[in-house]
Amino acid sequence: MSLTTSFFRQKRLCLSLLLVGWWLFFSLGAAVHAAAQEVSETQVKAAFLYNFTKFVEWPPSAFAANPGTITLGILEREPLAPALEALQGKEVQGRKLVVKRCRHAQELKTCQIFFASAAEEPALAAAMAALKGLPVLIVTDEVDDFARLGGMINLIRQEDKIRFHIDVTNARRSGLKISSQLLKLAILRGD
Amino acid sequence: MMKFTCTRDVKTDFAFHPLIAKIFFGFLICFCVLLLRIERPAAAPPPQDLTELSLQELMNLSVYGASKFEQKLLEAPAAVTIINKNEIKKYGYRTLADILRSVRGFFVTNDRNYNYLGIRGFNRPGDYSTRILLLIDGHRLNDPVYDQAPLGTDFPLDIDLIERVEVIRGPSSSIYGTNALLGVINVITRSGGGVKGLEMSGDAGSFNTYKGRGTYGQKWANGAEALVSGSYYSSQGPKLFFREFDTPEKHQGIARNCDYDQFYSAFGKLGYQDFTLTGVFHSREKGIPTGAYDTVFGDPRNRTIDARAYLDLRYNHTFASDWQVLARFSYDHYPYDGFYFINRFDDAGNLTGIGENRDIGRADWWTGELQVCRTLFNRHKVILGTEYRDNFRLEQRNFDLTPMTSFLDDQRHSQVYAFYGQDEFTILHNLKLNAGVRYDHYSSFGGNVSPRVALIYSPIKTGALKLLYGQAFRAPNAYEMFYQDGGVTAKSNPDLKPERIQTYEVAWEQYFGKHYRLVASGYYYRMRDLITQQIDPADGLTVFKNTDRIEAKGLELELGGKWANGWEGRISYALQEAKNLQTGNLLSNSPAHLPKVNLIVPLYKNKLFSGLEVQYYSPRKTIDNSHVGDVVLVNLTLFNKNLVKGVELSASAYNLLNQRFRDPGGNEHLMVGLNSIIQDGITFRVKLTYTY
Repeated sequence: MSLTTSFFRQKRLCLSLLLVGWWLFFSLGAAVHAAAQEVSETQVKAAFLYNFTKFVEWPPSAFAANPGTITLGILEREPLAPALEALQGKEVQGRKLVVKRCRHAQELKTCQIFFASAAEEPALAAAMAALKGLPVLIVTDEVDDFARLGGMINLIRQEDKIRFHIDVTNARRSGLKISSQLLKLAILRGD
Repeated sequence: MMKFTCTRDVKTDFAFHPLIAKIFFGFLICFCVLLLRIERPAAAPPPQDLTELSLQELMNLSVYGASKFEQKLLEAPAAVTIINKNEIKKYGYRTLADILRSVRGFFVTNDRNYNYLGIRGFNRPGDYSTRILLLIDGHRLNDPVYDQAPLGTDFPLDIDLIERVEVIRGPSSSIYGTNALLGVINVITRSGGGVKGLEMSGDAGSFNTYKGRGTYGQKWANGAEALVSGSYYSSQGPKLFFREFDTPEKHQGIARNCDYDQFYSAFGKLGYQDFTLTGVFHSREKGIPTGAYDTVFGDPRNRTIDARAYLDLRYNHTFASDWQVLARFSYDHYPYDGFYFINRFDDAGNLTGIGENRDIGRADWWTGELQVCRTLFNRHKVILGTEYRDNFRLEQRNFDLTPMTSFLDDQRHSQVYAFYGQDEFTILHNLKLNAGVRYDHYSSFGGNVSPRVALIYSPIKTGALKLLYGQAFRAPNAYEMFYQDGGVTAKSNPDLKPERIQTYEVAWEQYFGKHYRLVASGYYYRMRDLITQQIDPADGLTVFKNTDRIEAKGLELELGGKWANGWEGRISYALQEAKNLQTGNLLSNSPAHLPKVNLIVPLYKNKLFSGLEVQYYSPRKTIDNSHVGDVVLVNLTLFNKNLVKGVELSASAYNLLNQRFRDPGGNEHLMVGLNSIIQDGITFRVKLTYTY
């Protein structure tokens, strides 16, 4: 009996030691991580969007109503809204960027850029359908079938890095020109 | 006679051992400290304004936090765990059973022929993991003769071909039908585009164990994708000592060359546009070293051969009108052959020689499935589906050779059709109701309805509270209904009804800090009409009946963390109690406490990693009112990649503390005096993978 008891105790001791060891590892890991450069996914995605605008050429008609501004439309419940709204006032191709929350798909039609996350489905599909053929750059976030829905650029996360897809056909249909420099960095469809 | 399922539950006094409580408190303290830990400021803070960076610079940044895929899991109507191929490599997993062992609340036992998975305290010896549904890319693996979920070397897919394993806890019959009582395990295979070229892998381990694999995968510009792979595995197995058999007639309890294991397998997947064709072939031969079923102990000819083969054609298309259609057509073949060598005696009781008994199971079936999915009125995501399965060959045979004597020659067929529907209703932007129901109709016993309702509330974006209720069932299989041997030991029972489970569950999942994920859940379930083998007092024959009622409750806690530099880990604890209401006893082979730790540490840059696992099983009862002791299992793997370009190298030690522990056995072992089966001590493996 005493033999069994001591046996069990030994096991428990082993387990405790291992737990403590594991714990040290974990704390250490957190300390080491501090040295690695890590940033918020939403901020990086917003920065991506801002960068995209430098590589896209809109037809002049797109700015007929309001030549001095370029409007980024987002949906009411856009999860990335705080990061996107931080872009307000930045300069894009000599125009001031305005971020606008839209309640209805109709309001989006006056924008030059529309950004939406997968989390916004199903409102997303309806909004994208309303924009078909208009000179609006549609950028989506993690929407697998963005091309079918009429999107032009889709952001995705691969492991801990952000990458993007481009659908050139959809862009051309809307009268937008995407620079070859941007295409070079994109993951081509069918890749 | 050979595929016994007899379960007895016995009383012991240490189901909730006071000493073990210490471990629980240890964990609690760990949790608290982990929660209180203060984040240090970053040594090199990233630039304040990210928009000043170029696209190339942005693409090089590492981001933190739960990915979209992980966040979608928050909305799933179940507590889900994902194990990906990165973890499979870094923890040195060899089989699906190894992977599942690491999952919160799961425990795997091994009787040196098959592996058996326990979920939520349920893993009765003799149950071939029939209350768990196992899928490969959504294709059902449980066969219609024994309902067995193959988890060890009999799992038909090479472990290196797994992209990820999705573990869905709780009842899912409302979508999948039979077997989905305690959980669903869906194994997702790698894609041809993910392999992109030729991959060669070889490993060598203790007991002359070797495995080789060659895989080629590609994705072409026109979108066509292909993956082909072949594997061969062979293990001589250890020399085993069974103290129960320590007599001269039984070679002093030593079994040499009896624990061998060997398989060969082929896998192919072709994809073009909306079509995917998958082909699987796998055959495994396993020696039985335990003398189970009263076979001659130490005779290496005692063995089973289990094979699996299927072809599966899938069509998945999203129409412009937003209809999503999934159609599947498949053909499955499952043969099982048991070779059992048994001592023969004359009427005076003198040994006259060794006779060979053959136990055979065959199943062939085809399945057709159609599913449509569509969003209605912006708030409803509706799935409607139908499934038809024709088990056109269900064959069981048992016979002696020399002289040829047939005990069983049973040929059956059966059909199942089913309809199901599910609606995900977004009531408020942070409140979802997920309700589904499935009707199955079996040619053998008639209809069965399985409903499931889940309410998912996310007061904050990074967390979700889930309230779940579900019913699930398992249809009686051909073995349970028709196995008999002409009145010698067993008789059939074609009147069996399905067994059922009702589950209530509450789960809280939360991402917090920058790197942590916390899951806490509690469940309660009741099983009734559980199909259990019994001895009929009228004639002394074994027969399956809808008898047992089981009640179980449990708590689970898990804290996981992940950092961009490669640190990754999780710590979990499961407390469970499962009781047979018929007898009032706790279930056998059901550990009350399951604490687990998993940790990956990058040791050198992005090249060298260590993967550490610690698992504790509290004492478990055996079916003869005895118990097996508790055990601490430690596995350690060193994993290296790209020291030489394209080469991955790993070295693993399993059961590092060299614990000589035992797993409870079934009735086929108890009948020869084994209530538990000795497991391997420390073992090693080295592995090399080269990608061209």
